[in-house]
Amino acid sequence: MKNRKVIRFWAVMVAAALLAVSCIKKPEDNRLVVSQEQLTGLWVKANNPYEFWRFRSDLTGITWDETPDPETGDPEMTEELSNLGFTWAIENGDVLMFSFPGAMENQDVPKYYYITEINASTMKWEDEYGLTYTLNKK
Amino acid sequence: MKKGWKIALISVGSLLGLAVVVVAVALWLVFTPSQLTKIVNRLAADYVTCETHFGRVNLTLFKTFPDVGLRIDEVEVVNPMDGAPSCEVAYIDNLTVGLDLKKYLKEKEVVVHQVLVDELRATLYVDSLGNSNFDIFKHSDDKDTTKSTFSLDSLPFIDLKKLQVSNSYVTFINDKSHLFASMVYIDLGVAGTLKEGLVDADVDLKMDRCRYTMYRKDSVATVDGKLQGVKMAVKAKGYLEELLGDLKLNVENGELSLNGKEMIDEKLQASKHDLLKLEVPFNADLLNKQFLLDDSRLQVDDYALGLKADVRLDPMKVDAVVTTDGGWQVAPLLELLPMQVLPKGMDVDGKVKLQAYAYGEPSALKVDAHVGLADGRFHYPKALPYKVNRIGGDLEASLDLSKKSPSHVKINSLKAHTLNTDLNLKGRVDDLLGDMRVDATVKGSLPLEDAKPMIPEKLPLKADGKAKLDLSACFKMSQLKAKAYDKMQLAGDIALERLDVLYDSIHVESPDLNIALQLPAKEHKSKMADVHLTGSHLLLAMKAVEADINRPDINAGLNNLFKEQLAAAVELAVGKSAVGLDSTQIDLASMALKGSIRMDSTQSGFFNKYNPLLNVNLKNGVVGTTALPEKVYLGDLAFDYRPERCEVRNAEVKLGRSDFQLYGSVENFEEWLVHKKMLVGELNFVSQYTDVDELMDMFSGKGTDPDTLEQMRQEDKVAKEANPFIVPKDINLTLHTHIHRSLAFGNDLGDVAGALTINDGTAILDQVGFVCKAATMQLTALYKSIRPNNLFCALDFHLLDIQIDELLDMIPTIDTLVPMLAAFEGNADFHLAGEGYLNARYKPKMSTLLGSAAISGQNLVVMDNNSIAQIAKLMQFKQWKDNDNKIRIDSLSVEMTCLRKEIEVFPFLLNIGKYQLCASGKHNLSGDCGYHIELLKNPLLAKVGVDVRGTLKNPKITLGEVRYADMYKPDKRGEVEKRTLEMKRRVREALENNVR
Repeated sequence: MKNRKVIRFWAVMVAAALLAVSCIKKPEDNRLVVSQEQLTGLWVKANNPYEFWRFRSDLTGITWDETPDPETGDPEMTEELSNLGFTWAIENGDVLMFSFPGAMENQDVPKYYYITEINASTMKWEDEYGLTYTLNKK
Repeated sequence: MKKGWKIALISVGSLLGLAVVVVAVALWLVFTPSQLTKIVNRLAADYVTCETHFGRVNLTLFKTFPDVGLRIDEVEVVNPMDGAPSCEVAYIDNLTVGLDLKKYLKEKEVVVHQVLVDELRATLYVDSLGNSNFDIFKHSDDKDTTKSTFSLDSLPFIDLKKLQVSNSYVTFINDKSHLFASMVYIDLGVAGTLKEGLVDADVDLKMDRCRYTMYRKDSVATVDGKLQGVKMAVKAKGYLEELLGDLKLNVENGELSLNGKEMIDEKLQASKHDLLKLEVPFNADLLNKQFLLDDSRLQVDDYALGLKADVRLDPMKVDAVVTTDGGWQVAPLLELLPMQVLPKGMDVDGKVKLQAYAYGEPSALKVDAHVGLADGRFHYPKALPYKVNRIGGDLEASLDLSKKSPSHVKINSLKAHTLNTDLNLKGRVDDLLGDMRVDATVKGSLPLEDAKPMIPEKLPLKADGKAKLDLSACFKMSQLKAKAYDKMQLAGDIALERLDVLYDSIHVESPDLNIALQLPAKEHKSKMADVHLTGSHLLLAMKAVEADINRPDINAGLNNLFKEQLAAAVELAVGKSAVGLDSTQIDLASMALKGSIRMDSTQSGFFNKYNPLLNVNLKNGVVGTTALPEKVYLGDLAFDYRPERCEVRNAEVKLGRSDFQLYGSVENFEEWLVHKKMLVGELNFVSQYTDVDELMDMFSGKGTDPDTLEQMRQEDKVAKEANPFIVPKDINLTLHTHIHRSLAFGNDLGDVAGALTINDGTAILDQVGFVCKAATMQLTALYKSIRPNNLFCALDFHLLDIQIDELLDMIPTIDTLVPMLAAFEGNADFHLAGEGYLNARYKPKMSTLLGSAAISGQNLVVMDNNSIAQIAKLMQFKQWKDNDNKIRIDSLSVEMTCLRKEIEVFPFLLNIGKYQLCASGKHNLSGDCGYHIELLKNPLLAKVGVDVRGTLKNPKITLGEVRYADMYKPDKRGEVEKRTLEMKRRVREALENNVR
């Protein structure tokens, strides 16, 4: 019994040692180089046709979700009223940096994603946990 | 009688008769008319310088008996002169002179006893140089240049038994003095003697007509008098220095024109009475030219004056008492006066008694008069729309016609009555002949309805009630004309009873209201007048305002009276009162107000029209308004109002379950009322207890039209039971709160302190600190009720040293966002900044959520559960629980963000006993999660990572890659680790930056 435990421990340790090569998403050699112009415009989430993202050339943008309210049927939000304005930037060729300042002075919601694919109609992001986001150009 | 005596007497008589006849015949023979004519012509040439003609001269005995008479017919005096209407100065048809024959025979002295003139026609003329045509007597060559002193001895002896002039005409023209006089049918009888100063004279004059005219150089008459039926009788007896006499003058009729204006009315001319009667008993001192008139009587038509006078002619001086004979009835007297005296339409009557004392030189005549007036009436619709009657008075006047000393009249009493009004006046008017100065007191009783005729028909004013006046005034006429009211004095009371006034839409009612006036103002030094209103009760209604005031006490200082811009300093104190203002009812125990108003009647709107500057103190008021579901109870309310700013000194308010005290300032009140500007203010809000939820319900939607709001609710399809707080609009008020206890969103809060701003539909809490569930909290929040179903809310919330379970209890949303917090037990600091839209039920619209949070804690206990046990098992934890079987964490420092439904937890460290873990990951509100937990330190120095996938409720925990081995080794950090830590730092710093 004791030996089995010792074996299992060392097995874990070995496995851990094998996996210890930094598993955080690292830049790869074939990384994209994305230009700001490619992002500029209105995008819609692929899995939610009501969620819009507008990237402006002045590196500001806004996103809103027009999903109908289940009670009233009205869009939950409109572009005019949306509070989700942001500034955006591309770093290191493919890192899409967001900052959502919000209404409160002391609020800062930073986000970053890796752009894994972008063309005239589709754009894909991926976060460090491997979650992917697909948007279609509107 | 014996026959012998009879015969003797007849014989003697016959002899005497014969002797007389013989003498007469002898005289006739000696003094023939031709002889006498010669004598007269010779004598005339000796004494008269002009041409004279005498007709027949006869001697007469019978006509002048016992004097011897000389009768001259056709006496003509001719003295031509340029400008004279005739060469003939005088013509006498028959002139008889009676001489004292005895005197002549004895003493050779010519003494004229009788002069009889019949049909005299005289034309007397004085040219412009003063030469006259009747200066016909020769002057003595010996001109004595020294002024001789008068003595009785120098007087001639005159014993004129009869001077009779009859059927005569005299015309007198003076071109130097511009005067014309004529007398027609003169009958003059004079008899008397003058001997050594002793006079006994009797003069009787009658004229059919006479005329007296004074005219200017251009021949326009200034005075033109025509008299008819003139009779004058003078009797005088005594020495010249004490001559007792009696003068009587009657004029039957006449006309008098002054500067073309007829002074004697036709009615007076048609009167059956004589036009003028004068009876003057006198005592004259002719030597000293002094006359004493005693009990004289002057009567014009039916109006008689008593006269007592002492008149000196050299120098002229008068000392006279004039008294009306009984009372004079004014109306008929005025009818006798020319029409111009009274304006057309004026009706004046009354009985006037006058007693006047005039004295002094005519040029400086002084008059003291006592005038009594009774049963008078006055009606002149143009000036006063009343018939004033029962006019009575008693006046004393003192006049100096020379104006060298001031004249005055003292009004002992003057009463008048009209309709139901009685007025009494007392006082004095000084400088009567100059700038009159009136100092008078008026008392009276005046029903206000009597004032109705004075009110212009267009003025929408109705007044009922009664006014008692007791006013004293002192002013000069020049001040009154110049409207210099600031220099006039007025003091007194107007006591109003049962006052009921309706002016336009303003209604004032009071059972008793006293108005005390003081002009110039004594109490309000800079003002023109003090006005003090007191009463037991006052009801005031104007448009939407109704005030029911007990014991009003209004003290005002007024300026610019009678001008469009009236200014007033006001002090007002009222007792228990009620004010109805549109849909608001205000009940007050008392109110004191001090301030000023400046009325500009050219403006509209209360504040523009009155420009009030007020200091107001209210006590124990209750305000009921349809705008609020609860009554507002005011303990003390004190504020200073200025157009630009209202300083609230103290406002103690109880509203619903809340009590609070306010002080501070509010601006733009006037513009706010007319929707031109927002109401701006900064107030301190001190409260023992405030029910925030209740107040939000009460003030929700204020400033927004209810119909508009309802329409928005319908458009937003808001359920009836959903009543979100709609932030008031049109105001920008900041409340610096200090609340001992409060109820907000169902939470009991204590020691609330911070600023709440309501700014035109947006509510802002600025760093409001409070204690809730034994934790100290600080909240900055922004709430915007854009639409009933689109409520934007942003928070910056700091909860310090709060028990995690209570935090979740207080803000259940946090449990939704960060469900793993429920696994912790203990106290932590929680910082949250987030925002998003809420629907009408305050339910967050998840697609709008944006936020960041940081949690710090020490010595926390992790609630054991399956997930933790699984992780511990995978990581081969040994002895990681305490003796009590609890998992304790030395410290915890977590940062996370939220975007829409996704929560990202940045890598954080956990120290559990001898183990150190690092965790990070994401989950969404659906419960899907992706977390990574890594063992950084353990006794075996092994690096183990596990991944938590699936859902939070049912996670799949598997071994995963080691990712954070270098995260906390600065020299080994890569690009990603640096970026991750930088974001973690930004989130925490930003959150903690705002903690006070």
